[in-house]
Amino acid sequence: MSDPNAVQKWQVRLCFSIKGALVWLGHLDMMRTMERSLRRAELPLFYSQGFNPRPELVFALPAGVGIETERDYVDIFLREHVSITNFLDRLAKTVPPNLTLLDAHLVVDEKKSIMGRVCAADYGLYFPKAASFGTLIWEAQAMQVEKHSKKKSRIIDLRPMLLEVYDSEDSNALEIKVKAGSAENMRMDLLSQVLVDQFGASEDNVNNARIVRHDLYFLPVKTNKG
Amino acid sequence: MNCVNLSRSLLRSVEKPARYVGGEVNSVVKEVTKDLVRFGFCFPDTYEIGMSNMALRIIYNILNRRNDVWCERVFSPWIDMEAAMREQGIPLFTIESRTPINELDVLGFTLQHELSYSNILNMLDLASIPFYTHEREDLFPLICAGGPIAYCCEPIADFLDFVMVGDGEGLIDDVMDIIVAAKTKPNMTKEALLAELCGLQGIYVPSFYDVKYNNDGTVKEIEPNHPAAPKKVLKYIVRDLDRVPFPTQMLVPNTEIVHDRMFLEIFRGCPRGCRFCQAGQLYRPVREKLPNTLVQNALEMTRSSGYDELGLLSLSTSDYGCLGPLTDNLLELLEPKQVSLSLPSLRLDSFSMDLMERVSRGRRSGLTFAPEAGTQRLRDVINKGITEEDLLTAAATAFAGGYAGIKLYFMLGLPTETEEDVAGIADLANKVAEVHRNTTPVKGKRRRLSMVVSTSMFVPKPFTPFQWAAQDSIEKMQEKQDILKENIKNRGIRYNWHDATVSRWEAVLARGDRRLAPVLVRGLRQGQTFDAWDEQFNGEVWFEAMAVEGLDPDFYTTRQRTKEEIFPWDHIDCGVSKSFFWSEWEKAQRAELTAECRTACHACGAQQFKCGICPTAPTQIKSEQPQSNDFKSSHSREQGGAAYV
Ligand code: SF4
Ligand code: SF4
Repeated sequence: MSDPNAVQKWQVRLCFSIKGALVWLGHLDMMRTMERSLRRAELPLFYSQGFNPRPELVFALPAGVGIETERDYVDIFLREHVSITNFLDRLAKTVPPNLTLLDAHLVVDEKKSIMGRVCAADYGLYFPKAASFGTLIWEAQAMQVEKHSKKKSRIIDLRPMLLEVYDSEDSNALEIKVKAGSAENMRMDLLSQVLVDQFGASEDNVNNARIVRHDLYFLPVKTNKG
Repeated sequence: MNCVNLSRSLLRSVEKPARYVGGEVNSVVKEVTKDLVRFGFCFPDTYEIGMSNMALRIIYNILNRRNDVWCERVFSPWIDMEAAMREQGIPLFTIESRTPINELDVLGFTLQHELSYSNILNMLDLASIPFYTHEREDLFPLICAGGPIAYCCEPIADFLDFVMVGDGEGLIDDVMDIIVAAKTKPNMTKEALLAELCGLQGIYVPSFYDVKYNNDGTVKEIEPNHPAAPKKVLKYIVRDLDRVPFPTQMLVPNTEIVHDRMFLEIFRGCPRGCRFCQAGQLYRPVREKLPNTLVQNALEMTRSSGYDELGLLSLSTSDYGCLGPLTDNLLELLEPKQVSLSLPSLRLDSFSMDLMERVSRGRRSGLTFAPEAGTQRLRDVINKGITEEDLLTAAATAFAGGYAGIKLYFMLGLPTETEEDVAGIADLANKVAEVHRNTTPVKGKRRRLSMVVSTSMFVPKPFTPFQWAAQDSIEKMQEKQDILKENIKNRGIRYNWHDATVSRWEAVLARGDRRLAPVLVRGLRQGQTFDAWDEQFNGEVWFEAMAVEGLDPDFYTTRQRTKEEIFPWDHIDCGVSKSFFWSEWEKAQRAELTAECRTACHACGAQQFKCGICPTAPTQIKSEQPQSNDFKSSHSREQGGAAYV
């Protein structure tokens, strides 16, 4: 039995892309930017209860600062039903330049949040100067790098997180599939570090690379109805 | 069009790169044509601070409505970015198009406080623009300034081609008309252009005035040296704020800024006349916006920005004629849109606890009281007519309402201050703590007291009754801080004090003259910038630079002025007369109060503008004004949570 007092929530999954200036936003800034766009569009957002009501937005996986995304996902919760066309039309008028809406659909009965289901991602790294690292990293036994967190830093191995290296026509490109999500996540800044430390890439070439997250992979859906 | 390239590796190497890349909603990009006048609104601090400034968003909008002008934004790059720019030879650029700022036609600096002078020079330096007016031979870029400190910016006067004194949003269009026309005229000279600008009320061209000094260092005379320059520059005033174009397409930053919300100025000016307060005098008389306009503005802003918080701005919010109905109206319209309201600077007694709660939406932080001085005698000297009882009652209301965090603001070193007055600050704080012990919250649990007592050092400012006053010496300031450190012992009270050296340097600049220009250049050459940031400030650099230039800080700070002294800013007229300030200075010595404007007009001089609440205004809108002499307000020192003062 469902709670009769529970407010009906409509879950819309929006797929969008990010480039240009927006690439430099931190995740909190990205959330605020999305929230304000939704508010400008005057969409009937579902707000959390309590002292400081906030709209519920669940992003699949924040892209690191400086990374473009081609298919990024966010779940948006509404308190009224709005048709997908209407939703996209209204939002398209209010998002900042460099944020493009791709598509959206209504999500029903998903038990696990989108955030928890991300398992892998496709990335492309485009270097200004020639750089062919594909075979090198694929054949490497280990790719050790120091990961700094707030308190301590430790050495981690990125190699097990590398799932695939794709062929690319572009000799300045590195196209890869890596583990992503809340459990294990290959960070592109760490990969860049490894390319410099272990594979002799020039810092300038790596730091100036355009990095694009093409898409995410998700674990299969379990619905509420089992 | 040349534009600066910010490489990925540069952006990846600096803190908060988002502040350099623009691309915000409602930012304006225009096609550059030969005749388009390009204006750079230069804010001499970081993006986060500059974007929090309402003037920026208003001027941006006014200028960009025009087809013949493109206004872009320019901020001070943070230290790390500046270092990288200097290393890579990247000139300071505009946010919108990354154009090096020396390619623009007009650079307008906003002067919010004196400590930003070093950043202004640094911004020019980062674009290889010569500092001194006489070193810039080309017509463009013109360097100008506006904002509150424009009334007394003599230390940087030699760097500025012209200054806009007064309400810039009313003046800027006329200024741009002249500049737009000048751009198409062949053989236009800078002198001819500046002379033409001088015809506008509020325009001050520093190079059109000669300053002579006496042997003792005081000013002998300030005389115009150009036929176009008026003997005195009267501020420009907007008589009717309802008619000023309001940003309907509000610029919304992508990255978090200091005051990340919408602002609505409900009135300009302040009727109170605290004797230390410059803003209260510069913006006389009080001019209110009509509730209808405000509600309209609020709705438009909400729609165009998507913000979820609206801050009502003014110098003293409770002095707005019909604040009750206005807030009711706003809450009714904004609540369904999930927009909350914050009211800085309001008088506690004018609000029920219920409204206070609704307004601050349950946020229990940031209650600020500003009694300014520790004893009644000293509060009377500064004309801050609040009593101890006012403060204790207000504190009790707050504690009963569940607030436990409270801030008390005071100033040390006010004229006539004695040790007793200093100790009075600690007494007052202890009494507030006692009120906390004796108050049971109406609802909710009792929370531990967390009080912050904060003191800043009094800095005498031009255009106030205290412009004749001496500032304490550093030693005296520190003695006073020590008295407080000893006397504030309660565990729930934390004492915060301001670095005395900063206040001393600020005092030099505040009442400074043109001889300080080379001092500023010297300090900058030593790499001294961001003086308003405590951790960046280095007083030694400045006082050494003064010594090299043969100037004595005491001359500017600890010296009490005589009635006859000509001030470096005497050729600027803010509307309020020097004789009114002098009479207020004398009343201060006698600890005599002066009633606020609505109770009694003292013909301070601002009546000449025939507007606002002055009795000379043609059609005065008499509003219901509660006349209780309870809590009066001061600036919204913190535009965040509610500040009750
Ligand atoms: S003229 Fe009178 S009412 Fe007007 S600002 Fe001065 S004192 Fe106030
Ligand atoms: S109330 Fe505030 S703004 Fe008004 S004069 Fe006093 S300190 Fe200045």
